[in-house]
Amino acid sequence: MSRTQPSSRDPGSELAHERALVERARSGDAAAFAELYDSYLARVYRYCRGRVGQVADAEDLAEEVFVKALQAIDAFEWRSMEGRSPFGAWLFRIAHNQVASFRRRNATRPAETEFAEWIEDGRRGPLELAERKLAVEEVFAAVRELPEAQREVILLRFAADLSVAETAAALGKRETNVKVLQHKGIRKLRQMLSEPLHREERAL
Amino acid sequence: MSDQWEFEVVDLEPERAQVERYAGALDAVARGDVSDLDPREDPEIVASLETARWLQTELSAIEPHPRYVNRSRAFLLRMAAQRGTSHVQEQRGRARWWGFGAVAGAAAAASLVTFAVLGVDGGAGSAATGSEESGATAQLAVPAVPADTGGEPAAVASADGAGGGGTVEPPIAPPNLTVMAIDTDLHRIREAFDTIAATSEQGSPVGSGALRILAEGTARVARQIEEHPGSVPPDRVVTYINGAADARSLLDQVQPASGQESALASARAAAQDGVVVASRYFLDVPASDGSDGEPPNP
Repeated sequence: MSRTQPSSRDPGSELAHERALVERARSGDAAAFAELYDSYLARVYRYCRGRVGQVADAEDLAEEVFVKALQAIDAFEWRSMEGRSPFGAWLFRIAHNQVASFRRRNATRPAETEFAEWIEDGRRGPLELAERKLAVEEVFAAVRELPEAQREVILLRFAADLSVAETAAALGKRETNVKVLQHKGIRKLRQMLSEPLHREERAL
Repeated sequence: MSDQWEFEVVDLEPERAQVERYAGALDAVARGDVSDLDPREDPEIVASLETARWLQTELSAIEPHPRYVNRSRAFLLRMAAQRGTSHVQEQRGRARWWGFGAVAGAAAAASLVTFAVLGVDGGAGSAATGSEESGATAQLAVPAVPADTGGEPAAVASADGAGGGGTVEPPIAPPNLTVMAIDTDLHRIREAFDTIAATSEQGSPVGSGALRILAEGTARVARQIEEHPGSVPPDRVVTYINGAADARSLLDQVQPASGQESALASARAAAQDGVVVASRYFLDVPASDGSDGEPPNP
């Protein structure tokens, strides 16, 4: 479960670095906030993408998450989480709330899916891109079939790359509950993916 | 995610052991450990681990479009810059304090008492250095010098000498003495922090003594980090930045005793500046004031 931010620092230094960035961002240092944005954007985007389906909605939501974070960063209080990032948990709590708000606003809109994933990076050929697109379709189709609570945990753990502790903090749940939901979600995904017919239907 | 759902989840006692084993195996994989699970003995967990790996691989390949990232990043940077304008004004005000004029002036009256308590002459012999030792020490009922250094004059002298802030570079202290001096300051900061936190928890206003010790210790370590980053070990900077950030959060919540508002403001400014200075250390950014600090050598 690699973090987005590559670093050769030990976890303690990495957290101290992040804490410094947060403190500088709180002090009005735009560059520090930009570094936090760079560090978390892809993970926030993936989480939103998994929750709302549409690429455009996920992009809007991800941006809203950072706008909210910027507006609220003065109120953020760094509380140690045994080597985990309280800022990450806080940020994804905002993301969780933004998604909930988005879903309330769009409760009457029919659920849509959009698989036009941006995976073109100039290094992959057309065949590989097509395969990647199918894989993305498959994974989101499978995750969407999970019950809400399991889907939330699975996306935070594997799309947002949060730890169990961070996921629990982001959702306001106990770690035990997160572990149970994670276990059930993965087990259900495994069952779904082992059913060939089910798999083909989703791919269509 | 209703309460009912929560109750259902925690009621799954028979599966608990497997849930914990699976969570442990996932953590081990995340740490990069080689799994020692045998598919014949743990088929369920091994298969679930494979599913998790697949999920993670597929999801981590999804990236937002570069055009979106550029546009969104630029928008947020503009917002952050606009928001930062007011903070910059505050920082300018603090810069005067950062020059130590205010701190030295506020604590000058206590310097003779401090020297008597410490039984040292400050090593470098700087009047400003002496003034940084707060006479409020006695009010705090904490040792003037922590037991772990035993009031060793050299350690205090080293800290003071290194932190003189003048244009004349003091003699270079042996690294171990510098570290001892930093540890002394970190200890004092910790004690002052605990005193302030305890006072605040009781709902009492915080007196100037602990606030000044906190401000002066924090500023002294920050100056050492800023001017001689190569002499400060990274683990001390980690301890320091965590302490400064904790202090900043705490000080936002405390009430000063009557007439001690300036002491609280100084402590807040010191904590804030300490975080900024220490963060530069980790970012390998040289001091912006053109000082001749060595590059960090973590």
